[in-house]
Amino acid sequence: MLAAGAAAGYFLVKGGKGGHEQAAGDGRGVSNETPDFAFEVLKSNVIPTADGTHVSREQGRETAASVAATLDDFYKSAFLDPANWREGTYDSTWAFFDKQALTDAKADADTLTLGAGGADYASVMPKPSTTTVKILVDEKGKARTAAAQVTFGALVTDGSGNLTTVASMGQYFLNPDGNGWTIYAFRVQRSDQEGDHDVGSPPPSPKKPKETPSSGATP
Amino acid sequence: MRRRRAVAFAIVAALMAWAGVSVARDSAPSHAAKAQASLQLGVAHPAEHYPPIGTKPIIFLVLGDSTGRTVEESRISDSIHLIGYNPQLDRATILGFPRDLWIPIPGHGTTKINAATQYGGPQLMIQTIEDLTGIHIDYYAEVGFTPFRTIINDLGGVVVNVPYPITDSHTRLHVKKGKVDMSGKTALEFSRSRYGVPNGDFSRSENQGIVLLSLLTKLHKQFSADPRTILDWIGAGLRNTQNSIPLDQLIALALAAGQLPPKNVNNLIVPGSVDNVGGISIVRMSSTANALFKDMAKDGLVGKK
Repeated sequence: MLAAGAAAGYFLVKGGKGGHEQAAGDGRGVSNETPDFAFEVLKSNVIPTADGTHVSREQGRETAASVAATLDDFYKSAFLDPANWREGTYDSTWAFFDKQALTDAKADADTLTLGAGGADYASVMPKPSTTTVKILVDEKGKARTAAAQVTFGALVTDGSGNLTTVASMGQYFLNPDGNGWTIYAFRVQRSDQEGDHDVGSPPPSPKKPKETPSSGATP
Repeated sequence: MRRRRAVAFAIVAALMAWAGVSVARDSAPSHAAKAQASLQLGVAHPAEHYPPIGTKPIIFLVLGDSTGRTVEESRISDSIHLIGYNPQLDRATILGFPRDLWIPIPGHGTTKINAATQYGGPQLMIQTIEDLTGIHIDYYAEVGFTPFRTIINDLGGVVVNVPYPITDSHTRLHVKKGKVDMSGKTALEFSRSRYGVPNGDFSRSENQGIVLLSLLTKLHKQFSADPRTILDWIGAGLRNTQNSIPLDQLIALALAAGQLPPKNVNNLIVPGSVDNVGGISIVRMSSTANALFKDMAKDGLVGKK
């Protein structure tokens, strides 16, 4: 049941809310297409709420994949879809939030989306991005809620060829919603840097670290 | 039916149930349909939302049961705490009831409060405390001896700031004053000890509250690092307690509990004095307790700090 639901959810969210269809270029040398994007699921963890509940590793992975698929589409809508960032409007993005979260999500649009000002961008391309997912299951093994930690990155190129790395990191809580997932809670930070950088790794230390013995001994 | 054995108290269910939304914003500022900012070099302010739980105070009854050797045997609640949370003030109160408190139990005359669960389950305990205090109880959580240990172990133990050295031959607890990293077994012994502590039943009830606060401290720390850890707590709680909290509400409350600073919680005991009835040691409630109940009934809190 879990697997079937997850598979169906994956199918629906892939073609479901938030996704603009791919569009051709606009004739100005600027792409109108939403680039392909998918989070790499580094880890999934199923948490039972009753003793004796069995959820196979495969079922857990499938459910995590369906959660990740929703987040794939969310980030495409919020950061990668030129129809959204070029206009600075994100109506399709808000469809990923439940009613109670929507007001706060919109109020935090500058953190949760690429924001306004995209008219000057030439392209926004995703960087390798990762997620880990926890899934709370009921006594029948059915997913009741999930929480994902994400590290997302994108490279923005403006009309002059200047590069900016956009990073979005945080946690999303999602509830099953029909065959997909809806965000009901979140804590997300946004961090942008000039140039092309990896995301998810700590910034380089300003000081060179001291040499340490190679014996592996620890104090 | 889950096993209900010996003494304990419903730690995790309580922690998942006793707080309110401190960060969630019910009425966010008006927003424009368009995003307001472009690229933001450096770290932008975090976007944050947790499900709202309203503004009314919420009261939980947390029971730790001591039972017989079989599941079917009636249980006795040896740990009894009301936990009140005021979402508007973002404060909470833990109010412990000495298990030997001598009070009327509806339909069963005057006896020790801990017998109420034995006579009529959590519902009779709720009725008994509501009648005694005038405080409306919204939810209850109940845990037994073995599940309590399991919860603590599942969560990786808990660091408790022990207020005085304890040597108790009854529970076999031997701990020094100060911070002690406790396993489920030690936390249970600490929660049960009444012979190695200064004020018997009162100290025991207070120490149970200290364990609750210690778990809140751990939850708060973990939540700050990664809010998703709340699902581990909910899982551990649901696997090991019985409670009346719907899952959606439990998740919202747990997310709120993770944000509640432990310093915003006070830990109190219903005042009373030790007495004797027919050779049985009891606790008689002080007349000052009524003012305390009245205070808590008003806004879920005792005092405002």
